Amino acid sequence: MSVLHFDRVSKSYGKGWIALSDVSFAIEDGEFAFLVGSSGAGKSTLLSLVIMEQRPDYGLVEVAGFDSNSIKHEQIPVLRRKLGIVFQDFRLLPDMTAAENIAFALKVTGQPRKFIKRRTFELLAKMGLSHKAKSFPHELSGGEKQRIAIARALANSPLLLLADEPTGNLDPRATDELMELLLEINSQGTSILMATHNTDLIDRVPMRVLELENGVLVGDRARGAE
Amino acid sequence: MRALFFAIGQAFSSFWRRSFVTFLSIITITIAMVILGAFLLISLNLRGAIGSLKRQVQLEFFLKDGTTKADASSLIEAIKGERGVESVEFVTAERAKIEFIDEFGEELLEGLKRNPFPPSIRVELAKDLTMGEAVDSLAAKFKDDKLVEELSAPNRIAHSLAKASRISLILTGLWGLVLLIAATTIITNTVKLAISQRGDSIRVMQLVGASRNFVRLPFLLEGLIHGLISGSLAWAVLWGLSEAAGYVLPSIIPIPLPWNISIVLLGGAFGAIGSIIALRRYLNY
Repeated sequence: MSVLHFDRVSKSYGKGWIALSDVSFAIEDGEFAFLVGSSGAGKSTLLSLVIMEQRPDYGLVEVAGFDSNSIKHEQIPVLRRKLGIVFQDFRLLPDMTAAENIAFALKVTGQPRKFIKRRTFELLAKMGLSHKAKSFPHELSGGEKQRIAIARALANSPLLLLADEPTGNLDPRATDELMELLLEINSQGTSILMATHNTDLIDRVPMRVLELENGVLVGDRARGAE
Repeated sequence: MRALFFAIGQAFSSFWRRSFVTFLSIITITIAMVILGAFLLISLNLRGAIGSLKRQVQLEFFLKDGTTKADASSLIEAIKGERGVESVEFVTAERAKIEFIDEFGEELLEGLKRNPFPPSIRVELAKDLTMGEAVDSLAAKFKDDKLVEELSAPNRIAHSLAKASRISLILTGLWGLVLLIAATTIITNTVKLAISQRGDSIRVMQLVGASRNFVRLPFLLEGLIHGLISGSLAWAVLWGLSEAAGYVLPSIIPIPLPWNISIVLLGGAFGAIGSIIALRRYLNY
């Protein structure tokens, strides 16, 4: 069963700028896929359509039981709680500590206080950052920030983890550690769609690759294929 | 309920974590509220000053010697029925004499065999904008009454005061409107500025699935708290100002308590509304 399905999706901005054109693909439960393409290829547009930040001009986006044609505004937060989102620039809340950033994702779902505390410290331990619980984002390294962002994305046990260039601001060692972590998360059943420029990573990690070029899906290589 | 507790916690923690912006925001809102309040204080005292001048404007019908209150009763009733009349009082010759002695002493009346003061009807006028017309109308209607010997009618003063009232009402109204618009603009922009610094955070909150109200509530409470604190500070400053002014002008009218409470509440309303307006830009759904 697919957690994400794009059915002939097109999206354009203004006059003549086609961001996505007739894109169709599906991500199955528990699958890991890279999304590659140069700048302006349509990766960000595709991800923004997944989180329903935008709606397609044509076609249908189905994600975690919701679809772009029928989802109501007030259902968008409910959809996003079923997704985990990780960004290149981490996007941690600067006024909150590492633990508070993770807990925030749980608080918005109205979870009980005890559960939030337990889950937050469980995730901090999983990321090996229990000792940084009270640190603010500006006190963390790039790799640590990204781990906190992943912990936040995992807080609500998402069906699909979206990672937009998560290694973009990391050194090679932190990149490898992050990749290991993502693969471990995926092995536990979470589907992952990871947008990246890092060709070295794609070559080393034998996963499915979706390739965008000028808004068109030009390649869809299966796991392990050359 | 959890969302409310979270919002309260966030509003207060933001207070300390963003203390500089909070401080600037409170100071700016306080200044705007003090300007509004000072205007209130000045216009209140201006109106008070005109009002006390108006109280001194009295119409007095001097009656023929020997006229009693019973003789003048129909005239008194007729005057009472006129527009712009607040109260009518019959003053006997004896009372007029006592009042004169109280004011100027007995010496001036020594040697007089009879009471030189006639009985009179004193008319106090309503302190409104038609005072001048009321004086003219009463004088025209009753000066030729058979009981009336003479009339003291301060027509020019009444007309001038009514004109001054009209002008001050228009000017204070316009000034008040301009100040209110200026204060609203300053306050909403201050709140907007404070919120715009957290535009990215608001977006992140929405990305992790926070509903519109979940995002909005802490900001709303924060704006409300900033506004209420600013309103209270403005109240304290205005109290200090009116106390200090009281040393120079002992007759100064302080801002009444309900108005002071209104300043505090208005501060809170400004802060909360400013937050809602500022957030609209950042909330996508």
